[in-house]
Amino acid sequence: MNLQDFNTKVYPLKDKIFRFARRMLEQSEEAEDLVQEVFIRMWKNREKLDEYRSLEALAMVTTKNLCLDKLKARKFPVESWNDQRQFIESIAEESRPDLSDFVSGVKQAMRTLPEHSRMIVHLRDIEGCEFEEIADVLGMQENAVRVALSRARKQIRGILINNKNYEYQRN
Amino acid sequence: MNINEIEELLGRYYEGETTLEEEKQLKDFFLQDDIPENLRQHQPLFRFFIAEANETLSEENQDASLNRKIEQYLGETSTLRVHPGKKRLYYMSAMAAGLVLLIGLVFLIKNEAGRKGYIENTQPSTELAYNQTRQALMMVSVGLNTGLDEVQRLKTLENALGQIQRINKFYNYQTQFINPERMQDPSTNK
Repeated sequence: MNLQDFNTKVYPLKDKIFRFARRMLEQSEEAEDLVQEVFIRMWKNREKLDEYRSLEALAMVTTKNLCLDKLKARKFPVESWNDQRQFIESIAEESRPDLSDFVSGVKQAMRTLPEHSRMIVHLRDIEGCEFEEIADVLGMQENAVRVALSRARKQIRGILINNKNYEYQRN
Repeated sequence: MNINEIEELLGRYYEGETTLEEEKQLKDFFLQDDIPENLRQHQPLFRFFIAEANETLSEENQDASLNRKIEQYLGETSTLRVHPGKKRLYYMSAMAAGLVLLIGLVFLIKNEAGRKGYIENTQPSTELAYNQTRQALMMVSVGLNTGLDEVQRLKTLENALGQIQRINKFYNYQTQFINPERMQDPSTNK
């Protein structure tokens, strides 16, 4: 694979890699650095890239592994779980929460998910990946992905709906 | 799409049994502003998914730093892998260590010879001193020669690097010509 192939086949994955990395790391700067790192790894591996079935899956696996390494190396989580709970609860207390408040509530709810569930929800509901692809990236069985996805979706719903005044008012 | 269908889809959505197509339908449905009261609680979730899917690397970052860093890196690795600075440092430190050792040896021998001469003050000491000094000087000269050899080799390495870099430059120009959009110099990119 030469530079031109790389530019047309691998480079366009940058946004997808970025979104995934940011979902996991919860920091834009770190996610941007990680995109570079993924590209560099792929470039180092360029002789073998043609052998892979899907470059996208390879890129996502690389991203996942690098993210998990980064998270493991972190001594403290960026924000504690409780902060996010409080944030979601505080939405309901606002005098006139609107839809966008609740949308950012979903973001916080997603942060409370364990890493694996978060990856699954992200890949399915945001990136629109097939179960097969997700299973490939995460190294799981398709059925296990399905079960974990269902559990994660219910978990998000649980966090969001537990707020008593969940119904937002429209302007 | 009627409400019952949506409710049925939602039920299966939470069980992880919807297809991508059906999930697309749900997203489209919740994009509307007029959502029935009983379904409104699900709206933020799907709105969030839609918004997140459209996030991209920030424009400025994409053009300037990321592009440049990656392309810089790609250019570097396509020519050579050895870091010239590192190699030079390695040789320099080896030469420095050799020099220190030599100086130490010379002093040691000198001291030893001087003390012997002072204490014994015997006839053969001059010859001994002469021999020892000769030996020491020989060592210095041999050591210096090996050091010079290394320097010579370093020079050829540098020459070769220059050649390779020139080829690389030519290659970059060429690819720039073929694919001007991607290979544009980031500094002129606005």
